[in-house]
Amino acid sequence: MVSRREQVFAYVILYLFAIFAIYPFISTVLVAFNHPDASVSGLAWPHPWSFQSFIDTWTNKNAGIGRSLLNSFILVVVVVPVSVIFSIFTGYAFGTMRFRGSKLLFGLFVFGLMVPYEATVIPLYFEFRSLGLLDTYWSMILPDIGGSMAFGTFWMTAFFRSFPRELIESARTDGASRWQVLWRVAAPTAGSPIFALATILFIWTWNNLLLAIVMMASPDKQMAPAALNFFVGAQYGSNYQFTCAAAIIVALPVMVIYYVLQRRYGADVLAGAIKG
Amino acid sequence: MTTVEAGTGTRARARTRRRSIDDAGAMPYALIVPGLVFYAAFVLVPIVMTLKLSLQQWDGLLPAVWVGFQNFTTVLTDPGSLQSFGVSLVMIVFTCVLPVAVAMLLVGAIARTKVRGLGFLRFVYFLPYTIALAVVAIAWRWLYAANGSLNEVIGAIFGKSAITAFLGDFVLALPAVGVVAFWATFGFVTVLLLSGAQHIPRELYEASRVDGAGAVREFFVVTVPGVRHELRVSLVMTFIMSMRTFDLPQVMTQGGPGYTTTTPVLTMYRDVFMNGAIGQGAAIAVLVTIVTVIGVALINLFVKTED
Repeated sequence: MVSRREQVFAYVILYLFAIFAIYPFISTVLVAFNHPDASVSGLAWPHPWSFQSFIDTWTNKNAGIGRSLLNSFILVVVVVPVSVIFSIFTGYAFGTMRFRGSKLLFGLFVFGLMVPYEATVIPLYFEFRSLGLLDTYWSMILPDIGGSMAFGTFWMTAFFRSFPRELIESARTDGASRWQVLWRVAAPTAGSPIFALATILFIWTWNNLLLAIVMMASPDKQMAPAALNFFVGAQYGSNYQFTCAAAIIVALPVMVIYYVLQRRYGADVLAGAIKG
Repeated sequence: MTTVEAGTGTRARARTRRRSIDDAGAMPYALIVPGLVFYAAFVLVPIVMTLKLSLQQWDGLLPAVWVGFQNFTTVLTDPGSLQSFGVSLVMIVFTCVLPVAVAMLLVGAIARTKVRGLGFLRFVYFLPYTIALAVVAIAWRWLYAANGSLNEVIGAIFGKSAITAFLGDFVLALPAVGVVAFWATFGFVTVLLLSGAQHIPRELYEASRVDGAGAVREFFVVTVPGVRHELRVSLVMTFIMSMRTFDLPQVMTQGGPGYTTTTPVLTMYRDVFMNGAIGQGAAIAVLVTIVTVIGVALINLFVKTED
C-alpha cells in the first residue's frame, strides 16, 4: 500500500522525535549519577557511578527536598480525592439530570477552562493573608480544589452523558434512588475515567509552581517544585549534579504514577482525559 | 436526599419514574453545591476581585484608591510590559503553533502506515508533559550549559570558539526557552491527535488511494478533517499554556538576560509580590485573561467542529 521508502521515512521521523523527547531525561539522569565534585561535560557518563549527589541533595538542610516532597504529598492526598468526588457529583448532575439553570451553571464551569488561573492568584494571596492562612496547607488546598472543578466537572459530565440512559432508567424503575444509581450502577463502570481524572489532577496539583511560591514562604512549608526553584536560585544553581538530582527526586513520584497508569490504561486514556 | 427518595410511596414513585429525566427535584442542586462553592470562592470571585484590583492603586497595606483605567494605560505604555507581550507572541509560536504543526505531521505519518511500537512511542511522547515544568527547566539548563551536551556537539563541529551560553545570550535566550516549551508540548499534542486519528476509518485512506491521491493530498483530505475535534482542543490547550508561561523562564533564566524572556505572568508576579505595584500586576492579569479568552474564541471560530 505505502511504499517501502515512505515507511522507512515515517519510522525515521517518529523515532528521531522519540529520541528528542527522551534525551533530556537520559542526560539529566547521567549527570546526577556523577559525584558532586566530578567535573562534568557533554553526555557526562558517570565513572564511577555515584549516589552521592542524591544523598547530598536529600540531606541538604537549606533545600529541604524531603520535607517538600512530604508537603506535596499532603497536598495531593487531600486535593485529588476531594476534587474527584466533587467532580463526580457535578458530572452526575449535569450529565444525567435536567434542571432549571443547568445550562447556565454548566457554562459557568466551562468558562473556568478558558481562564488562566494566574488571574486568580493575586486576590487569593491577599484574601488568605487577611485570614491569616498564608503559609498553611489551606492556602494551597482550597484554591487547588477550586481550580480543579472546571476540568473535573467538564470531564465527568462527558462521562455521565455517554453513560447508557437505559441502565439508569431500569435501575430507577427497580426502585433505586438516584443516589444509589450513582454509586451502584454508574460509578463502578467509571473506573477508567475517574482514574485518569485523578492522575491529571495529581500532575497539575503536584507541578503547580506559581501558587506554591506565592502562598508558602517558610522553608518547611515549601512544595516540591518551589524547592527546586529555591535550589536553582541558591548557590547550588551552577552545580548540575545537585540540581539534576533534585529534579529527579521531585519528578519521580509523578513518573511512577504515570507509568503505572499507562501500563493499565494506555497513554491515550490520559490524552482522552485532557481533551475531554 | 436518599431518605426523601426512598421514603416516597408507590404513587410518588410512579410519578418520579414518568418524570425522571425532567425532574430530579433538589438533588442536582445539592450535588452541584460543594463543587460550585469551591469553584466560586477560589476561581470566580477572585477573577472579579482581580478586575477590581486592576482599577485601583494599592501597595497591599494602605487603603486602596480607585484610579480608573490608569493601571492599564501605565501597562500599555510601559516598554517593559509591552516587551513581555512580545515574548508571549514568541511563546505562542513555540508552545502552540509549532507543536501542533509538528504533531500533525507525525500523526499524518502514523495514520498512513501501520507503525509498530506505537504504544512505546505514545508513552515516550507523553512523558515530558507529566513532569513539572520546574523539573523540565532544570534538565534543559544542563543541556544548554557551557559544558552541556549541546555545546559539546557545537564545540566538536565548529570549534571551542563557537560555544555559546544560550540562556545568557540576549538573542538566543528566548528561542532557547521556546525550544523547551516546544519539547514539553509536542508529544502531548501528538498523543492527543492520535486518539482522534484512530477513529478515522481505514476505508477513507484506501478510497483516497484508489482516487490516486498522494501523501500530501491524503493528509489534507483525510487526516486533517478526521482529527478536527482533537486539533481544536490541542490548539486551545496549548494556546492557554503559552499565555500562562511562567515556570520555564522563572527557573531557567529568571526572565533574563535583561527582560528578554520575561513573560506577562512573570511581570505580574514581580509587580505584585516584589514591587508592591498590585494594581499594575492585576491589570496585566486582566489583559492576559482577555487575550486568552479572545484567542480561544478565535480558535473555536476558525477550527469548526460539527458536534
